[in-house]
Amino acid sequence: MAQYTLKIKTYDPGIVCAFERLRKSRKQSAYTHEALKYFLASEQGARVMELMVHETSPVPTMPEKTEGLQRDVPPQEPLVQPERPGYSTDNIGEDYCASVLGKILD
Amino acid sequence: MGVFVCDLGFSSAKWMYEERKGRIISAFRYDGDNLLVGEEALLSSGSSYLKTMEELVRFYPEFVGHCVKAAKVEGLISLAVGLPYSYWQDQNKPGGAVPSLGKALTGALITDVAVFPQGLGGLRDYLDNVEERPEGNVLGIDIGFNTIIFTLFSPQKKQIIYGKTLNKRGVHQMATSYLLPRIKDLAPSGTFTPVEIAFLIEKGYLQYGFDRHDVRKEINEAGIAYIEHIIRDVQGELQAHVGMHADFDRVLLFGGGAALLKGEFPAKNIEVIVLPAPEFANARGFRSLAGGK
Repeated sequence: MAQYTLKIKTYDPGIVCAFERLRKSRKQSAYTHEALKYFLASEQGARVMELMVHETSPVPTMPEKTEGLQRDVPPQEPLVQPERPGYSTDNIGEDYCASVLGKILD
Repeated sequence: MGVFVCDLGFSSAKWMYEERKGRIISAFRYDGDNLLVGEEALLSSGSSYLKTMEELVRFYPEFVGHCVKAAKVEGLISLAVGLPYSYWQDQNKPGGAVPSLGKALTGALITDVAVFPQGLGGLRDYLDNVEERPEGNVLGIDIGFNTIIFTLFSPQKKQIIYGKTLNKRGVHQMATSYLLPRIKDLAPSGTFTPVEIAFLIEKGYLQYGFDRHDVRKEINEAGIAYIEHIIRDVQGELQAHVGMHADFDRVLLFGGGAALLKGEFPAKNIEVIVLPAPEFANARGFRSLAGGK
């Protein structure tokens, strides 16, 4: 069971550059491995790892996910994941589907 | 806190915020350094329209970012977005595309995200604006660039009888099968790329040297012929799945494809309604569902 999931965008310039350096080996696994090493060696990666180890939500400091939206705002303190009724894993699925469909025709 | 709506489809992202609204064409180009989206991405070669659900989900954050910038949003917002109905139904489970999209979109300005089914936003918008609920069944058809989403529902029983997303239908098929044969004299090369087709439909004219040919009339005729074809297709689907209960008294048309239809439909005893500003019908429905004004 994976403990952490990191999402790598294949069009991220840093990741592309890591891929570039590995072009000869042609193995996707090696690509990903190198991309991960590259990311974890960066300052950002270290921050993310640190946050994960301290079991705090990494979302607010993951700029690759929200790059476009964060550019203009001052850095924030790590937030506790806000309550999102639709997206806690407990109540997603049938109930959420049914409640949205119900609301549409109400 | 305001509700920001971004309804990204295969032709464009429609956004609404307070009194403002706008569109960003669903084209993108990645040149190794920058990811360009919108009209400027079309200015050179190597650009592409969003084509698959995976691309739609993958590029959603970039498009939302651009829309938020275009809307000059200040302060925190809650975000409402949409995914095609069948895909939304299918992916609404832990680890599916719906919760991951919700998480990927949450950021500094965006405190909470709701993902709604495209194709049903128009139904909500319609029900918001009728004074009395119609008696019989209503068939809603959302005509997109690459998908058509139809839903047969009963406003009285508040029930969806049957609904489905038809892939590889929509404005692109309308253009290739119904519009291009009508204007083949104007296209000596005989072929158009999907990007060119989208552009042709957006502009409504073709230009060769000093000549500019207005094709809006042909687009409208092709649109009406295409809708008749689609209705027959949908009727077949409904017969197969619902049988005799598949009757409907009213057809709602919305989505970007419906914006191309201006003419009267030769319908007998069936009311055909094109929702006002049909491209934004889903977005308006999402806003109403998310509690925005």
